[in-house]
Amino acid sequence: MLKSAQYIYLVSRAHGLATRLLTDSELENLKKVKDLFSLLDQLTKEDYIQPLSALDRDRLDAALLNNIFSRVYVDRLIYFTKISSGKFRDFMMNYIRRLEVENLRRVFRAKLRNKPISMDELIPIPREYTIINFQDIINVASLDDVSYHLSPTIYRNVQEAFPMAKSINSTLPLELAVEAIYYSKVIEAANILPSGKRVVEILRNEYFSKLVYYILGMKFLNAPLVVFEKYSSIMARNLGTSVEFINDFLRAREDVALNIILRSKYKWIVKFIEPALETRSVNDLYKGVLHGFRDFYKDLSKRYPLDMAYVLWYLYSVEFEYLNLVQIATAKELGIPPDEIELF
Amino acid sequence: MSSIMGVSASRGALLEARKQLQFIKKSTEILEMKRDKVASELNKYLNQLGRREEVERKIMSVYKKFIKALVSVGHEEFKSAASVVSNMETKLHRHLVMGIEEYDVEITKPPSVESISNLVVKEVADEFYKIFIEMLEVAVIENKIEALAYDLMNTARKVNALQKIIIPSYQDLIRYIEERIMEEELSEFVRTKFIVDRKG
Repeated sequence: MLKSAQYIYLVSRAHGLATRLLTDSELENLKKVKDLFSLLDQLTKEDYIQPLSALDRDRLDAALLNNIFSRVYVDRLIYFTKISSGKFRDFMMNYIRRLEVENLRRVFRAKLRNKPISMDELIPIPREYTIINFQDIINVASLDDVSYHLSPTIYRNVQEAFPMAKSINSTLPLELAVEAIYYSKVIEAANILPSGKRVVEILRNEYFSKLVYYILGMKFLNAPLVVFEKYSSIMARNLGTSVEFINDFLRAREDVALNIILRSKYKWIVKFIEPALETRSVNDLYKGVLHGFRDFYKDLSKRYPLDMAYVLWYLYSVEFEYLNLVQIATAKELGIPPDEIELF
Repeated sequence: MSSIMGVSASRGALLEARKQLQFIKKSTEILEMKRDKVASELNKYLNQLGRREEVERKIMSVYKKFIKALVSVGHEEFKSAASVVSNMETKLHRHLVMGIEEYDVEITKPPSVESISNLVVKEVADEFYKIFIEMLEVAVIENKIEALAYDLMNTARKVNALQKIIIPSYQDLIRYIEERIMEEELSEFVRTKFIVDRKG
C-alpha cells in the first residue's frame, strides 16, 4: 500500500528528531559526572541548552533541574503533535493525554486530603493540548468537585470510581480508571493509522507492563486487589484479551501469575520481573518493568525504521530520556555513586 | 541535764529516739524493698536496650531503600504520592508507678499510608511506619529505663545514708542517752545512800 506524504513526513521527522536525543553512552557519561553543576555543564544537547543556560546556578537543585527536564519532555511531545495532521494529529493528541493523566493524578492526590495545589506543581500543558481546565480544577474545594469538572470530558466514566476511592481512602481507583480510559482512547486512535495494528500492539504491551507493576506490586505489599477487579473488563478490552485472563492474573499467587504471563503474548516481560519476585521489592519490580518495556520498544527502531512504530519508538525514547535524567539529577543531589544508578 | 544533737538525756527522749529508730529501720526496709523491685524492673528492661542497635540498623536499611525509591521516581512524583498521607495523631500517657514517672505513647490516629497510590512510595512508607512504631517502643522503654535508673540511684543513696549514717547516729544517740541516764541514776543512788548514811 502506498504511504501518504504525511506518514512519510512524520517518520522522517522522527528520524531527524531522534538525533537530538541523548544516546546510551551520553547518558552513561552523565551518570559519571561529579555533581549537579557538572551535569549542567555536560548536558549540551540542543533542546536543553536554552532552558539550562537561563538557570540561576545559585538556586540549582535536583527539583529545579527535573522541572526543566519535564518542560523539555513536554515541548518535544507537543512539537511532534504540532507537525502532525489528520489522523496522525488525532493519534498524537490522544497520545499526549498521558501528560494530562499525570496532572490528574497529582490533582486527585492533593484533593483527597484537601491540600492546596498550584499550577507550578503540574506539568505545564498548553491549553490547546488538553481538554481539562486545570486552572479551574486546582481551585476546587474537594475531590467530589473534581468529578464535576471531569463530567464533560472523556474521563466522565471516572465518576464511578469516586465512591470507591473515598471508601478505601486512596486515589488508586481514580488513577486506574483515568489510565484505562487513556489507553482505550489512544488505542482507538491508533487503530485507524496505517500500520495501526502494530502501534496498537505496542501500546497494549506498554499498558500490560504497567498493569504487571500495579498487580504484582499490590501482591508484594499484600494489598487487596478488589479495586482492579472492578476494571478487569476495560483492562481486558484495552489489552485485547479475555476478562478471565485478567481475573486469573489478579487472583493467582505470584508464581502462578508468572506462569499466566508466560502463556500469554506478554511473556517477554517475565525475565525482567523474575529478580523482583525473589527480592519482593516493588522498586525492583518498577525498574524491571521499565527495563523490560525499554528493551521491548528499542527493538522497534531496528525492525520497523520506516513505520509508525518508529514514531512510537521516538516518543517512548523522549519519555525514557526524561525518566533517566530525573534519575541522574536526583542521584547526583543525593551523592549516589555512578555504579549505583541504574538507568532505565 | 546534758544534751546531744539537741536532745536532752531524759527517759522521754530515750523513748522518742527508740521510736524514731524503729520507724527509720522500717522505712529503710521499705526503701530496700523498693530498691530491689526497681532493680528487678530495670533488669527486665535492660535486655531490651539492645533493640536500639537493631532498630537503627533497620532504619538505615529503610533509608537506603528510600533513597533508591526517590531516585527511581523523582522528587515531584514522590512529593505528589506522599501528599495523600494524613497526619499522625498521638497521645502521651503519664503514669506514676512507685513514685516513678513513666510515659506511654498511644497512636490515636495512624498516618494513612494505605492511601498512597504509587506502589514504590507506598513500599517505603509502609516500612518507615513499621520502623517508626518500633522506634517509638524503644524510646518508651529507654525512657522507662532512664526513670528507673534515676530512681534506683536515688533510692540506693537514701538506703545507704540511712544504713550508714542515720541509723548508726540514732543508735549512738540512744546509747549515749542510756549511758547518761544510767550515770544519773547511779549518782542519784550514791547521793541518796550518802544522805541515808549521814542521817543514820
